[in-house]
Amino acid sequence: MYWYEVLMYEMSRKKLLSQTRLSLNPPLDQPQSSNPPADHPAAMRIFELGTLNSQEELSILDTTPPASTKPSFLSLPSEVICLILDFIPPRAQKRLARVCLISRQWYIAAIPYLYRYPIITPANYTKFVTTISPSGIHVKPSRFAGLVKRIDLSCIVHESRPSLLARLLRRAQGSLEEFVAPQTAFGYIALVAIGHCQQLRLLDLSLVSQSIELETLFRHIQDLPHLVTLYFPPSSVSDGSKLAFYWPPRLKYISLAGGIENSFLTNTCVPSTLHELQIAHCPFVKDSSIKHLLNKASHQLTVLSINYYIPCLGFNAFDKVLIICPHLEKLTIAVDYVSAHLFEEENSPAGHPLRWLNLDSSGNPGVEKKITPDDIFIAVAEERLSELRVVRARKKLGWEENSKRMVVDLNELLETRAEEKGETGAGVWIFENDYSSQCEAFKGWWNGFGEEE
Amino acid sequence: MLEDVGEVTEAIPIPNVNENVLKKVIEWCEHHKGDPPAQADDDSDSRKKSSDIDEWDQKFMQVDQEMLFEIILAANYLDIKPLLDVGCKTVANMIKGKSPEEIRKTFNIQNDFTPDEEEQIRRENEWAEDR
Repeated sequence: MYWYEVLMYEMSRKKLLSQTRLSLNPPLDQPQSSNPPADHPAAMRIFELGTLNSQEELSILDTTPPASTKPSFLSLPSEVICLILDFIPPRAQKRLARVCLISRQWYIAAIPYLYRYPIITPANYTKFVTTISPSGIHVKPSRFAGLVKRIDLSCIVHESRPSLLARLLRRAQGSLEEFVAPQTAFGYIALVAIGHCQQLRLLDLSLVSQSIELETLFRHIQDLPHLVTLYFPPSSVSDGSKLAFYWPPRLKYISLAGGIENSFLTNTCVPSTLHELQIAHCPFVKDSSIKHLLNKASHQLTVLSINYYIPCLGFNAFDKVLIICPHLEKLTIAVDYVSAHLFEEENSPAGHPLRWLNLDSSGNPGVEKKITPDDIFIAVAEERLSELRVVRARKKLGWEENSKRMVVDLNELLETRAEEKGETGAGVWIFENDYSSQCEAFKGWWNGFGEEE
Repeated sequence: MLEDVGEVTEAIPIPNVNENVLKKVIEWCEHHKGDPPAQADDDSDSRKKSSDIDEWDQKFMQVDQEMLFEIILAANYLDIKPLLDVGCKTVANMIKGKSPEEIRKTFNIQNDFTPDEEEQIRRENEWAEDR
């Protein structure tokens, strides 16, 4: 703690400070307060932002002396204001909007925070679009558009039009990193606009109700250099004209859904960066084509989810999933597609790295009887799944009602294993919501956002 | 700071920090000298939670607005990151639930907008209030 030593050193050396009380104001009014360090994200924007809209107002702002020249009170430098704003959760949108109205200095510092992760609802969508992309004869590019990093339109149903959405995306294309598409009004022009969002890291089309041609989708996203996470649309179609699809170069997480054909899965080249794969709601795919895909990615996958509804799969289609994917650490699977054989010796090899098992269920009658906590208990006790720490089971499986004793035993075993290695957080959980359907990155993002005001 | 300056025998002047504030800063440092050093990757998660200030720090920060700002400025100048964070968190919490006018009053900040500018900003950011 070197600052502590500095102070002690200071105090013991001289008491001269007590003699001269120096005003705080003069040094703060110097460049320090008007030039925050350029490496702070908010501070960087200050210079790019400029001031208010029209020429007239610009001059007013330029000529008015900054508030801090008044000697009567203390003001904070902009870099400290940015630090304060760091502690306001991005979901506290109203608080940020009010902070913008305090003074010029606070306005310039807070605007990037307000526009970075806007919460968009049916009530404010139109106003937000109007601010970001004003229409009319005197259209000037909005200085706010370049601040938006995330647009989440999952709450928007009837409020949008394809043209409005495309305009919004075009305005924000320089800064946009995450986009969650709305259920409706997502047309071809929006897809074209997405293709220009070069900073895009997350693209979530999982709510889009219109059918999207895979050929078109791939044509527009395949060159996005930073795209890491991709959720397929639930109603994709393919005209079968294309055999090879090229994925964006940095893709790590794919959620497959919709009208994907077996030929798509067997023909596609798996991106070498991929390590998380989710498959659900695919009415046409067979277990052989999913296995074909898994085999191609077997050495890179660490997180896998195979969930309902995939009607073509057999009752024990994925009993060998741990053999196919020897590096899996997290597995989510609907018990519809596995049997208790999954935990037998030939399917659960010794020393498998699996740590986290999430058992989901479609709730169809009978599936809840397929796997019991004891099946897992034996595999762990026999040191085959020696790394397993967390088991989560959907409430529909009825473990709480029908196999309470087994759950307690398994929980105890997992906790003991964790304690032996000095770890915490092991055990069995019963869950009701659909928590598991989001990828890790997405959950992390949302959890870090604090409470709404 | 000492690392930047290197070996010195002379006192390092800290002209920006007056005696009362320095006493306060030292009081804080005395109380926290046993704290484990902050992790390098602490930035993302634990730092962002604005409400968690420990009880002692909360009491420590119950000072008038001028003193609060002076402590923050001193922590910034002396590069005492944990104290700067506590100060900034305190301000962020104090802003909660207040109107712009109330915030200005609390922190003695002058409104340097013209009524027209204020109206324009209000209009631009209207979306943030409606939801």
